[in-house]
Amino acid sequence: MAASDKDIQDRMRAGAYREAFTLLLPRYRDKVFRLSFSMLRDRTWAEDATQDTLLRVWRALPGFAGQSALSTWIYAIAKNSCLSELRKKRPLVSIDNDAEYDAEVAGLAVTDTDDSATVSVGQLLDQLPERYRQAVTLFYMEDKSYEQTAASLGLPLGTVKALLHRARKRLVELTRESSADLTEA
Amino acid sequence: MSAPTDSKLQDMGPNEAHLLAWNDRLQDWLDGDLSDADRCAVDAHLATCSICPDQLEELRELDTLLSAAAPRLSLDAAFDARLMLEVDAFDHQQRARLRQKLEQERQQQLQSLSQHWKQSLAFVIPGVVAALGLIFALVGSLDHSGLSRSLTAESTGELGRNAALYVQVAFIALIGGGIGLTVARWLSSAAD
Repeated sequence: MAASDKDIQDRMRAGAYREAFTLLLPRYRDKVFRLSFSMLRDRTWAEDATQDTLLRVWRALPGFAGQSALSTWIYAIAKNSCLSELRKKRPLVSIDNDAEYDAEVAGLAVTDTDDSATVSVGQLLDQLPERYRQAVTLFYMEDKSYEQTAASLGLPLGTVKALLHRARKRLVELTRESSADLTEA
Repeated sequence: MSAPTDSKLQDMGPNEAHLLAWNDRLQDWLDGDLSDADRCAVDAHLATCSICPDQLEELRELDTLLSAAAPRLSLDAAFDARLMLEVDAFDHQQRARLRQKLEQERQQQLQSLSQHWKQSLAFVIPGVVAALGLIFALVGSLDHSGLSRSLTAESTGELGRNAALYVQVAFIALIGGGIGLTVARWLSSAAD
């Protein structure tokens, strides 16, 4: 049976950090990986960021005081790791300016142009603002779980639903536009 | 989702405004995120609406596309093994740093103790030796000069005549202090 957050925190309270980490690893590893991928959109990069995140978690484990949920704490570390990675790649990315951040991150995530007649999902997603794209990517990677998506992003459930609704509406519009363009061509 | 403003709705065509109004419920319907009553209401609307079924179909196609395109990401035991190696390396470094810190603290404590001893020896020992010298000198002088008798029997004016004696006592105390200071320095270097 998989360990719960309570089991992990019980071990931490007892000072058994290694045991706690061993339980934490299979529980959060893939979720952190998917969250990292939704931000970085590169498998190798996301894997490195996941390793960095989990190492940070290990180092900080004795300092975790339990003011927030364990999952919230871990996802916050993961997001910070990914933002650090993005800043390394693009030192001018500023998280204070959302529009600038969106543009920078979107720039990083642009995939190679597809020469085929149809427009790929990746190309459609590239046209979305970063927040929408991240919510959609994570939602479908997390088997369409609103709860897990909201937990990973650290956003309220209602906000995640709103982001998804807007994103999918926009994607339908983009599909129509690209179909019309292809017909004209 | 925020409701569209009146001016925005006016700019839209009737179909667009209708789609906007039903967008959330259609997506909730698709995600199975509606109560039974709301689902029935959407079903009833879909049965009569000429716009929403097409929109729902497009959303369904998009949903299938996104589900199929979503990467199935998971990490394996090899990742865990690599991570645990990093954890062990970090622990090793941390232990080494901790040992180094403890050694530094021990050295600092020894230095502090040595400093404390030096200060103690530099002040206490000369003081004690000087005090002892003073006491011996006083006792000896009092016995030889009959000053003890003078203190009890003679007036204070007569005491002034023994000023040379007091200077002698002070001189002896000074020599005692000097000897004490020399001894203290020697002891402090021995303590180091």
